[in-house]
Amino acid sequence: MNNAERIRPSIDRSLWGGILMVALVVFAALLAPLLTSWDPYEQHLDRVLEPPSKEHVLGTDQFGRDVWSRLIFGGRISLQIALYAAAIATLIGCAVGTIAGLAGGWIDRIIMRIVDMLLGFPKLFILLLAIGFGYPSIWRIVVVLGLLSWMDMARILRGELQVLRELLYVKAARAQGLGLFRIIRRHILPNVVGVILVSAALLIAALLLVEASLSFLGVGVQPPIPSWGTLLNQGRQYPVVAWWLALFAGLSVVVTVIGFHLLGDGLRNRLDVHLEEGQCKIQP
Amino acid sequence: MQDSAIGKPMLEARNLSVHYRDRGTGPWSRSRGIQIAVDRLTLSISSGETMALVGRSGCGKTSLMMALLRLVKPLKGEILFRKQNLWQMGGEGLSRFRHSVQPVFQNFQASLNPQLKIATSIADGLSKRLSRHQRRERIAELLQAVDLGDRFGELYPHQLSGGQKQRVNIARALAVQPDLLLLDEPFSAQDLSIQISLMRLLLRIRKEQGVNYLLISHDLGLVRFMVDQVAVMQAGRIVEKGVTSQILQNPVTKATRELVQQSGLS
Repeated sequence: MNNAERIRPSIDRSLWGGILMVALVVFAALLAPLLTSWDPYEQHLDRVLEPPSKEHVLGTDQFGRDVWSRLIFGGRISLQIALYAAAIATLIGCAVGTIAGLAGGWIDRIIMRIVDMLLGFPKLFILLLAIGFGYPSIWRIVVVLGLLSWMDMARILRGELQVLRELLYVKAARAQGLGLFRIIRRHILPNVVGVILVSAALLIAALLLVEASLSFLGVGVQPPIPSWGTLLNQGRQYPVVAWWLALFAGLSVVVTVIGFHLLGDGLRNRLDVHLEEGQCKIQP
Repeated sequence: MQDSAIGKPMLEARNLSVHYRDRGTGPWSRSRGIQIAVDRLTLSISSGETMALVGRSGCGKTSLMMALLRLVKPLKGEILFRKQNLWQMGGEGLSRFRHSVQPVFQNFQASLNPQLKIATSIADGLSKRLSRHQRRERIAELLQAVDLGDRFGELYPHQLSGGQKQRVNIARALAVQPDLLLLDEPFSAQDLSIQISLMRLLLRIRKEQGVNYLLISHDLGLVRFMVDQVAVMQAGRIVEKGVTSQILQNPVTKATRELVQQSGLS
C-alpha cells in the first residue's frame, strides 16, 4: 500500500465530518421557515422564559419568543455575515496577493509593508470604531469585517505565488510565449485553489466568532434581529434561570466553527498536491 | 528558415552582465551585495550555426541561457534578437522571438507540470488557430518526431522515464517550430545509451527541420560531434571561441585545456 492510500481514510473522515456539520447548519438556516411555525420576532409575554417543552423545543426567551425559531433564523444572519465578509476578504486578499506575488520587486515590497501595517493595528478597536458610530446595520458589519480580514489571505497567496512563479515549468510556459492569464489559469490556479479554499473556510469560522463576539458585546447585530451573538448576549442575563438561551446559541457557534475547521483541514489534505521529486503523491 | 538569413546574427549578447542578490544566510545577516554570474559577456549565434557553450559547473552557463530567453533581467548590456533589443520588444516582436527561440532545460522533471497530461503540455505552444483535429495530429507528429508513440500524449509526467521526459521537453520546444533551441545540459542525469539516443535524435531533428542549437554542457567530449563552434566559458566570461576541431586540437587557455583533458580527448 502506498502513502497516498494510507492517508486517504483519515482525510476523508475529516472532510466528510466537516461537510456534514456545515451542511446541517446551512440547511437549517436555509430551510428555517419550513422548520418552525413560530415567528422569531413575535412576542408572547404570557410565555416568558419557558424551558424546553413539546411546543417550544428549545424554550422561550424573556419576551416569550421561540428560541428554536430565533436560533435558525439567527443562523441565517450569522452565516450570511461570515460568508459575505469572507467573500469580500477573499476577493481582496487574492487580488492583492496575486499582484504582490507575481509582480515582485518594489511593488511587492510596498504592498507587503502596507499589509504588515494593517496586521499591526488592533483589529477589535478598529471594528468597534468603524461599526460603533451610528447604527450598525448588517451590511456595514459585513463590509467592515471584509475590509479588515483580507491580509492573511494576501500573505499566504503571495508566498505561494513566489514559489510557483520560480518553478521551471512556469518558466518553460513563459518561454513558450503563453500569456500571463493563460499561465495563471493553466499552471498557477490549480496549485493555489486548495490554499484559497482552505483559507476561506478557516476565515469563515474566524468571522463567525468575531460576529458572535461583536453581537455579544452589543455592537454587532442589534436586537430584535436574531443572530447567534445576540442570543448569547440575551442568555448572559439569565445564565442559571434560562440556561437554554445561551447554551444552544453557543453550541451552534461551536458546531459551525468546528465544521468549517474540519472542512478546511480535509480540503487541505485532499487538494494538496505534493510535488515530491516532480510527482503527484495523490494522482490527478 | 529562409536561406537569405543564413549567416546573419540571430541572437547576440553584448557586454552582458547577469547578477544575483546575495541575501546572506541567517535572518540577521545583511545583504552581502551581488554575485555576478555572467560578466560583460559578448556572444553571437548566427542563423544556420550550431554552437556549444562549455564550461565547468557554476561558470554562469545557465544564467546566460535564462537571460538569452528573457527569463532573467540582465544587470547590464543588451541582448539582440535579429538586431532588435530583446528587452525593448513587446507584443508582436516578443511573440516572434518566443516562436523562434525555445529552451530545453536541464531539469527535465521539473520542467513539466506534473498535473498536466503530456499532450496538454505540448499543445500549449501550438497556435490557437488550429482546430481540435489539427491540434491532435500535430501533437502526434511531434511525439513521433521524438520517437514516442501517440499513447504518450495521454500519460502524466510521472509515468515516464527520465529519457522519455526529456524527449517530451524537446517535442514541446519543437511545437512552435523554432529556429534555435537553447539546450541546457540536455543529456545530464541520463545513462550513456540514452545520452547517445538523445544526441542522435537532436542531430536528426537538425537535419530534418533545420533547427539550430546552442548546446550548453560541461562535457566537451559529448558535444563535439554536434556543433560547428565551441565557446568556452569561465567565471562568467567567454575565454575562448572557435571552430570545434581547432579548439580541440589547439586549446589556448588553461580552462579549455582542462576541459579537453577532462573529456579524455587530449
